[in-house]
Amino acid sequence: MIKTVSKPKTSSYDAIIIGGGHNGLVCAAYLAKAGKSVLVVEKRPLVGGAAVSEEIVPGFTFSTFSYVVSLFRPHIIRQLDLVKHGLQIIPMETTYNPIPGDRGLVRWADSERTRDEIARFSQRDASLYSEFGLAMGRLSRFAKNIIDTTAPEPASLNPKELFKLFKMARLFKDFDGKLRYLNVKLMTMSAVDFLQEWFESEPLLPAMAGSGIIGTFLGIRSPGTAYVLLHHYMGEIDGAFRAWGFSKGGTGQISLACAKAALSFGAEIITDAAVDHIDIKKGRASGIVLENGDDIRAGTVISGLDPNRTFLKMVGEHELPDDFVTQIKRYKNRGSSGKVNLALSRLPNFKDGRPGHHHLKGDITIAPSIDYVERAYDEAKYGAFSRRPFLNIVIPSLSDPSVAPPGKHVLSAFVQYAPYNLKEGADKWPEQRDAFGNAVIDTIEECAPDIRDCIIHKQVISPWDIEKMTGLTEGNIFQGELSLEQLAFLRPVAEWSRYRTPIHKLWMCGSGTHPGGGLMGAPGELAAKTMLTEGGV
Amino acid sequence: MPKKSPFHQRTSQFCQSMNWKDWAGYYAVVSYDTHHEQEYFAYRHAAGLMDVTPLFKYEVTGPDALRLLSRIMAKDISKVKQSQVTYCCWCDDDGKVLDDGTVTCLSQDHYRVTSAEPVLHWFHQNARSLKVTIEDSTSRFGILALQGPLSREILTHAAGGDIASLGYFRLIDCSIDKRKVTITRTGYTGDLGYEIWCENKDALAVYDAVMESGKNYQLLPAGLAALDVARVEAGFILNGVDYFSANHCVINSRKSTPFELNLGWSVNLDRDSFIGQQALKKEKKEGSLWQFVGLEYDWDAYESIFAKFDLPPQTPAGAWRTAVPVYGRNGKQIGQATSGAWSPTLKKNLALASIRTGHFTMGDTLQIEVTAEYERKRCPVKVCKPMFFNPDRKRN
Amino acid sequence: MSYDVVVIGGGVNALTAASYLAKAGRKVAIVCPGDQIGGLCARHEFHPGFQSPGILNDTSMFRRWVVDELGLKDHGLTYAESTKTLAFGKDQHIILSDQIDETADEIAKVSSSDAKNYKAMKAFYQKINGPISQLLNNIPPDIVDPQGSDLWSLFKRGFQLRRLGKKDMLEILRLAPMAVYDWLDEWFENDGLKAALALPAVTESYSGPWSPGTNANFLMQQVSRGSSVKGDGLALISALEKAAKSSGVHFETSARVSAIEPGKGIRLADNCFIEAKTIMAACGPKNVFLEMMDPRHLSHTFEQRLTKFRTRGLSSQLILAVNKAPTLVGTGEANRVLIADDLDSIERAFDPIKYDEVTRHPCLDIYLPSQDHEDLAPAGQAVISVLIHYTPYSLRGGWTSETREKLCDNVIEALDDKIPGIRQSILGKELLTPQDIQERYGLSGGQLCEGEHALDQLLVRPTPECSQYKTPFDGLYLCSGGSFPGGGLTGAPGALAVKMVLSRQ
Repeated sequence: MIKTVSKPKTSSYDAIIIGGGHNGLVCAAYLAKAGKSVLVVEKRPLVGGAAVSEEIVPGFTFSTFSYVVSLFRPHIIRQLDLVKHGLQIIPMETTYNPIPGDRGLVRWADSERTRDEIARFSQRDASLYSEFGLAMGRLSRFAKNIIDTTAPEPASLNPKELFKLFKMARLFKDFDGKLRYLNVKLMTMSAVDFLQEWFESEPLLPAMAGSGIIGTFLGIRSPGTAYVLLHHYMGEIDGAFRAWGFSKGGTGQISLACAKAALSFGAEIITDAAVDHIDIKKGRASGIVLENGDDIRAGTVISGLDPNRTFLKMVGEHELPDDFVTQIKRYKNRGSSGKVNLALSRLPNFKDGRPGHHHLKGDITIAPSIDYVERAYDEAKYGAFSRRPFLNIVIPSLSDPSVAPPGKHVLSAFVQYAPYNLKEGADKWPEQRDAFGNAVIDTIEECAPDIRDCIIHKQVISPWDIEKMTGLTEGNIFQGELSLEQLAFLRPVAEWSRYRTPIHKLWMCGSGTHPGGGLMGAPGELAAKTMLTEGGV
Repeated sequence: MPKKSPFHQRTSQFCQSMNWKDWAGYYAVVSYDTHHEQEYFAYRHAAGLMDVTPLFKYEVTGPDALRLLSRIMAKDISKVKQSQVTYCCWCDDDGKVLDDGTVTCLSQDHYRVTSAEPVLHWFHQNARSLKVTIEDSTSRFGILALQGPLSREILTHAAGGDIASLGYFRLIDCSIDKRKVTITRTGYTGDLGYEIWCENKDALAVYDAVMESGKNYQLLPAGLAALDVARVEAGFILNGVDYFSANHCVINSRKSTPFELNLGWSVNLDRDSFIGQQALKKEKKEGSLWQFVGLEYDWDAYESIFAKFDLPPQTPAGAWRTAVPVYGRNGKQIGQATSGAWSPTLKKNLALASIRTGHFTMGDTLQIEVTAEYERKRCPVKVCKPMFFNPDRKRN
Repeated sequence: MSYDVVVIGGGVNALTAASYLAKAGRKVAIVCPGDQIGGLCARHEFHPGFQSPGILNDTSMFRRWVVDELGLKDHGLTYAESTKTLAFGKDQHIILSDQIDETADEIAKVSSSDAKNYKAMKAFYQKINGPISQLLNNIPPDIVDPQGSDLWSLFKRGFQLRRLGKKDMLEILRLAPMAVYDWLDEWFENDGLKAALALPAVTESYSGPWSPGTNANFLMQQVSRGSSVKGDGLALISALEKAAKSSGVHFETSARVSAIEPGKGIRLADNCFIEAKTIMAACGPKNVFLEMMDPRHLSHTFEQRLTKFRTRGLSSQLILAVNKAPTLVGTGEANRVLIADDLDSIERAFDPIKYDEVTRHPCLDIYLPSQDHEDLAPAGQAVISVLIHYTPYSLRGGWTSETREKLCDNVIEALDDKIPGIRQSILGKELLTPQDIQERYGLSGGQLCEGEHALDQLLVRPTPECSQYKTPFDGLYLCSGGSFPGGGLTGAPGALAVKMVLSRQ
């Protein structure tokens, strides 16, 4: 834990960062490391934003929202010395797809064993599985380059930008034709169509495709979902840690490590301090005013909040060009997912005939068929939560005993789809929350019939709750959908993809900027580095 | 967790060393004793019995079986007669090797393929519009490799059938202990040898019968370590060691063509189209970039490298698989040795290597990296054909 | 028989390609599998005395430059003064025409802001028309294995886009991968209007209005649309046929190709061999390579790519013989009627096909040909062609007479709701499911565009080896809707393929 206060030490800083999410903290750490005086302002009593660990029931630590780590940039860990500040990632080795009344499919770290598992459903798929991983690994080399630099500006005539585009084209050219073609397909196709070019069997197809929809309001058959699959293969090649892992002590420990790093470089963090608005004088951000009326001055204000909240609530339409306001308003947030966190008195029995619980230590995806996942989406499109949702479950207490009392467990279920905009209206979520939670537990029950007997406490979080708790507009966990028209040089809006805003000295550093959402830390880092080189602070 | 082959009950009984490895998802004995030397000498002077069940096996059946294999294999499979086995490799469109293995013609519409890697999807992809079914029979059969100069006597004793007249790369259906087996005169030791295919349920009975027959011939269960030395002597390449399947290469430069692996003899270019034909024809015309060769260390030089440290020459304990650089006359690296071994039979230190074309001719002396007392040295090696050991008894 | 070029197919692209080649002095034969020229616009009798006008009839995207270069106006082609589409929404109808002001006035009846935005949207498309048309009306650059000329062409296109200004360039890059739902939502509020605009753009690929990438189709259509040919598809075919004949193209009908031998010629089902150094295939790429060629000649990679080219049929056609021309609300001039309540109802019609089911409430795209073609039906009577969206290729349980009848019932019920009295006037009908369409027209999967218009299949169409009409085989070219810029009555694949042929000879 870190000790924080709700009053700043002084009344003026080089930079104030609104929002103590992981990106805000990373940004603060980089700026403080460069010698700037930095203040992070967080409205909740704890830092982390959507990456927090909370002890909801005594002895049980929940990763309330974000629950696994995959893409946290390794160079940020090195540059901010996050390991020294307590970051520990425990790799997840298995992926389990339960099927009621069956052994289900487990993909192990042991590739031969995985092949045998897949062969139960299709020998052809089994013989192709490793080859697919290899092709994706190659493609992710290209993608890594994109998430680790600022977005290219295709419309720019600046030679530096053109050179960057040229460099990217060169990189693309270095692939052979097969990979280039694969890349074109990956960027445009649906996860199912893309995977069906390789595989034929269920549950392998929906299990893999499922990673393409997490956090989006798209189905596994919707074009544009294929490229998210790549994220699963990006961690594997960078050598620092495996693709997916748990942060020891819950996801909040990552935020805490970032916060400690920031503090160690001299940054200040205040909590329980909600910002009322950003103070703008003559088109220039000059400070912030807290809800309690405190006025804090800053050379630069940096918003880690989502674009909608930043501009429409903290800045105000009247300060912004009409055209920009239109673009921010049409920026799609549309939260589509919820969370159900359970404190369990014991491990549920998955009735799969598998001995032990080794296969439950990784990620457990409930997506038995393509149609199942697609039907879950179809329901959500018209404003209802899926009665049989796609679930991504983890039981981190199996790998990290520190998050639950001995013999007891925490289970975290990421649920899709739970559309923010119910057809009855988003504000009807409190009435539907229980039914939603029950649908999730019913779904788990089909695979683990005794789940209800194990539950000590249940926390159900709808997108409406996410919005209320974290401030994320419409509960979108990525601060805006990761669809092609909202990525790279179009994130959050065209011509403002480089962390700048139309307000002088107001910058953005959240997931609503390139390269987008997920526990990466990249937007915070790139924002800080851009500001430092371009005289933003 | 690896699986157990149908012979596991016996192999685990004999495996005193507890020295196992995972071979294609199966438990496989590396050496039964703590040292593999006895097993090696059994291969070369008596006979060794090895469980090679983990080889991938496929049954290709149907009226178009031959058409499918003709399309896939670089070799002309139509020349393979019934009850004949052939060694071959197969390539992708660019003529890069995907895998190597054997094709057995059981009948006109039934072929059997063995491979080092799973190939089901590849065969299926190429079977569009063909009347053929491809079945993965890997877990249906157990295979024993009985290899060594006395293997014929042992098998004659064990099997009811005319083993004596079974020709090289030919097949016979017969019985061992009243169980139906298929025996092929094939192997991976470069010596006289046989492979015995049986149904899983018959595996233990067959194993026992062969061991019983071999009692008076010093037959030993033998493991992978001994096999590895034998195959280096014979100059047999190994997928994943001496070359990499084109489907598993991260970069193009890692891929190899049959010509580059000294498998040009197994490629029949002038026939109906097959996968990779055009690329291979082009390579044949324009020449290959790499050549696969054998290297013999200059023993005196090798000895003197160690002598400088006041050490006796250290020969590798078994076959090695970590590639080492090979240097040309001008001292620049021109290739790499991918595996090697000290040959107890030939009393030579040997290596198999891929060397860039144009930097050497057969008989030339090149340099190979040798590590002596933590220091990297270069030892002269003579380039030769990659077949160091080739006894008459293998074919006759 | 020996020709310089033989063109396989009998539709718009085949006729366009043949005419261009004949004009360039080549000795050309068209080998048409059906007994009628016309491909998807070919007639056939479906009820005694009643003829179907074919499946495709929207000629508004047929390229003007092709009309001019082939001199089609000398062969009887004229443009309709205006093209009117009657679009039924929920409790409303509007008439969309190719006249912007007229349409805006019509829209104003349901929403004045939409009327204003309609003009603004049209102005936007007008503004970006230049560079997008350049893109759609030239041989596409090869983006998978770009050569020098491709890089130059990419650079040129990029530069043309950039000349529009930074803002518009970024806007085009933004809109292309979008879902048409979101795009139209940004412009309009009226559900019926949005549905009417979206329907033609989403039915060409396996997608509903919610599917990302559908806006690229909408963009293509908006930029390509102009006036319609008077007499629609049938008239266009007849002008093209006359043009081809007058420049000496030889026609061979009822001639099914059994084998293509690139560089040599083609073999027909009756074993007759037609020699030709150059073969142009105006039929689907899958048909060409997977059915008409010896599989041994295809490389593994190429064959795999072809099998993965997605050609899922999505639409069925119901053709009705009626005893009197239907009476439409409004001016009654429209010869096209769309029925789709709102974007969600299109999406809901799409949903079931993902599970091989068929919707109870299909969206309908109706063509009333008889005003121009009185010969299709006996005097006083009429023919109505209804495209039904969406229907799966392989219906769960199969397309039995029962399921077919049920679909017809649902369609007729929807029709009768908007055009009262239609049910009673029906004398005969024919339903073509995607399977029937495949059977009758040889379209792989019954896909009307010879390949889904998904983003990846538009950028590289159909495979990298033949994205520029040439193929891995010397003397064999593709020129169907399965090539860039896709299906529909545009003539562009035919004309652009010929450019490629001529540039290589």
